[in-house]
Amino acid sequence: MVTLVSMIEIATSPTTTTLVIAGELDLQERDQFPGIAARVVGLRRQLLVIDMCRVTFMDSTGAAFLISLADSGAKRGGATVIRGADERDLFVLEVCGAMDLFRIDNEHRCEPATPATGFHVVTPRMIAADRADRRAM
Amino acid sequence: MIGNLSWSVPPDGPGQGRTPPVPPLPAGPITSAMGPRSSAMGPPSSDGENASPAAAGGSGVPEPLAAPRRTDPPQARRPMPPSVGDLVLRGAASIGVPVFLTGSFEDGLPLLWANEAFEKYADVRFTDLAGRKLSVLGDRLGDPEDFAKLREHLAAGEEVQTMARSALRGGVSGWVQLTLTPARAAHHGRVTHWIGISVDVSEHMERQAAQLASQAMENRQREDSDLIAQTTELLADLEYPYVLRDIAELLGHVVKWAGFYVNDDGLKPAEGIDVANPPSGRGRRHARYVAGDDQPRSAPHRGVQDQLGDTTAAGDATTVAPGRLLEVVDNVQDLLDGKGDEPVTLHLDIPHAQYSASGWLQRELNRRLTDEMGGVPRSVVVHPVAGRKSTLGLLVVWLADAGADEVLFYEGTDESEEVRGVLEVVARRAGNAIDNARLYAREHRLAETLQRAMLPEQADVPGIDVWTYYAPNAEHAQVGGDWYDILQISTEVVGLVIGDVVGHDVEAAATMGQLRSVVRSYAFELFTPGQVLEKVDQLVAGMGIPRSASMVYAALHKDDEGCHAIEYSRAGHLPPLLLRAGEVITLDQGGGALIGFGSRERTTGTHELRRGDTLLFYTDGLIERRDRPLRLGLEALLETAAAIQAKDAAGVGEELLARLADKPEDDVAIVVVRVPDPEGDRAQPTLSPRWRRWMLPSEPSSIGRARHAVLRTCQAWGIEESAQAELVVSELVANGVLHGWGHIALRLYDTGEGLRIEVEDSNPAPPVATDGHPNRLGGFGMQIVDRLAEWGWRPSGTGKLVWAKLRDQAK
Repeated sequence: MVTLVSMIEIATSPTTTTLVIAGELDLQERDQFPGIAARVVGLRRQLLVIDMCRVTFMDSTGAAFLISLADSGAKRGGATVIRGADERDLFVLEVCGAMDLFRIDNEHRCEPATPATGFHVVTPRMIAADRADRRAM
Repeated sequence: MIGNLSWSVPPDGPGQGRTPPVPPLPAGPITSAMGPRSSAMGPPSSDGENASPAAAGGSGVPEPLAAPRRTDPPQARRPMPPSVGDLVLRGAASIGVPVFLTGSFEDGLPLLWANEAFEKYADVRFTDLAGRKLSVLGDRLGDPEDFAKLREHLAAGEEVQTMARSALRGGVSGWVQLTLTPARAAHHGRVTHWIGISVDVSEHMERQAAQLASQAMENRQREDSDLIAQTTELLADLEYPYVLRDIAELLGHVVKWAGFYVNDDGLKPAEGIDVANPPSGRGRRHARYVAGDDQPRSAPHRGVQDQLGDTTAAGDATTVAPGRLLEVVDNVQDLLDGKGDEPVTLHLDIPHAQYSASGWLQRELNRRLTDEMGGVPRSVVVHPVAGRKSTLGLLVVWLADAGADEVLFYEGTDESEEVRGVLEVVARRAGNAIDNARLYAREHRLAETLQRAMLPEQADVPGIDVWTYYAPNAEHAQVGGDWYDILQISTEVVGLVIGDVVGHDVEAAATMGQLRSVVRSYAFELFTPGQVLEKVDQLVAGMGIPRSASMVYAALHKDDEGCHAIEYSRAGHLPPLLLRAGEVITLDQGGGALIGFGSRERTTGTHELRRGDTLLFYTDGLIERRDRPLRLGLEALLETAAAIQAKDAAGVGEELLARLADKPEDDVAIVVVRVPDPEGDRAQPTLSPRWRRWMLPSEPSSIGRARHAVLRTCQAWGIEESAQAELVVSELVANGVLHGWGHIALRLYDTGEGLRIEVEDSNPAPPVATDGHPNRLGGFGMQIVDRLAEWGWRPSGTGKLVWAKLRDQAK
């Protein structure tokens, strides 16, 4: 049976908090976002790693959650790494204007728990150049 | 008509010409009148034959025309056939129309001759007036303008007509139309005399006056009914926010100022009918609504107040006599309390208790009228605006002719009958309208809330593909007697209910609601469908449910190997269908009587299910038509079902609806359950309809359901790249859940050039693409949609429809 509720696990080491998210990250999960954010911030680690290998879906509400985590980390001088995000997840983060808040780990390879979504990034004509610049960064 | 004329006295003597028919007046009086006047005026004119005062008045020119005198030797000058002159004179003397002759205007129009009728109508004796100026009768002219006009014409020597009051006759003065015709001397054309004819037009004038009066009355009535009609028209659109203000402005035609106030636990000004928060008509906390300054700006008559605001003594400036310190009678509150339906007078120039209705209204009017009208009247009239059961508010008017009254404590108002009538009608209509709007809003809210609570909702059941459809046929209700339920009883058991309460009115819906709860309760306790229905029978028998109902209860079991089986029991309901690879199996076991009539033991039918099997539950609205028996309808359904090719539950449902429910005459409920077949479904896409629809409750779990529906549909349509559609649907439905009202309708269309997604909710406010903020959740949803699709929105019913057309990824 497919579980519809996303699972969010927090693991920590002296320097790093790792957030492992599984399932669908949308409005339905919104109620648990503030509690998790509070715990992550309370750990006060310099590095936050968000593992999205098992995320099957994320929309703007889920992205806003990740952004709020990265934003509060950045305010303390910390960094946030996202790994295992697929094209669509990155697209959502990018539309939300948050790519500069994250470092993207493209090297990470864990067991593919979710099939590739086959998502194609759509690049609007108007701001294609701008986006290309941002990608280059 | 007469023009200038000349005449002479007939040759056969004056007596003949005038006297015989009317003895006293003509000859004698003339002579006697002329004599003294002539002498008074001076010597006869130089020609010696004419003693006309006109001539004597100073013209000094010989006059060929003269007043007839006995001594005239006329035939010497102007031969005239005696018979004609005689007749004219006789006629003039005896005619019933007053005729008189005066001298020239320059001489002051001395009266030279008059006939008997003149004496009679003017109620004078000619002898009293003979030779005197006509102006002694001048006070009888109608109005000064007429008099001026008369003078002008006389001076110019032109014929003139005017209206004059005739003498009193029987105590009533009448009206005459007076015509003065100039008579010119033949040789030099000067006007030497005036012939006056007066016609009694009293009756005509009376009639005219009556007509004018009734016309004015009619105009007034027409204006009033116009005003009432306009009021009614304004009240037709109760949603217009200034309906009461506009009506008050309309009333400005009959009164100086008018304003509406409503009482909603305290009086407050009303410009429109507030449906969301309508006046209750109750409560007396009138200080709650204070616009601007609480204290009156011009309160010359305010008394001294204690700390609670009650007046204890008259103020210095008050004109109210000592001892009359405070209006203890709060007649405005009495009006609000329904202690009388007659309008009352509120005196603004005497102090009222501060927190009384009268006191509040006094302060409010002092402020408002000073602002709007630049002054405050001594008193206003307050009409109750009554609803069905209570007084909802007040219509306050400043009468156009107010201020005359000095009586402080008296019953009633200063309004005229007409004004009062109009105001009462308007106030009554406004009261009815407010009441109706309030009642309607309340009923509407109640009905909507209940209906929403009773609408069937589909649980999302993982592992099986479920599609539901519900269309009540009632005109004004969203619910009818049909229902379905999908219950996740345990991880292995899913309960399915479809039922139909007789009728499709509110009672049917209420019965449905009760039955639904009963079935749900037992479904979670007992797993065998026959037992569940038996328990339902028992309970319903004791509940006295007013309508009979049919239903099917089925339980879907999944064993450890993932194989399914269905158990079901029917209570007078049409058999569910099992669609398997083009074959239709009627699940007609487990039959029994309608709910509540199950005196015999309920039985349970079973059937195993394979991957790719589709179960179809429906109510008779799907197949029932007046023009064919139910048996034929069932055959048509079997035929249609056998031809269904869709490989997703929604597709099966759409194919059914497309072919059967063209004109449903009853409520229709359909549940389609499909056991997914991951291998078989990947085969060549089928030719099922290229549209799908779902009704989703407004809750966060619907967002996931919507995404899964899109994925399944894309699979059924052979659209491989569903990731963008999933994202767009998720954002749109999330918006609907967050900002929309009521249920959310999701529709998908395969346009051939990309997927079109429609999401409809009951909130008419358009979606907004905000810039968002990183620290705030949400805000970027529409930006994501914007990047992936063309999108727009339009009003739809009471809400809105947001559509998005995905860009064709193949291109």
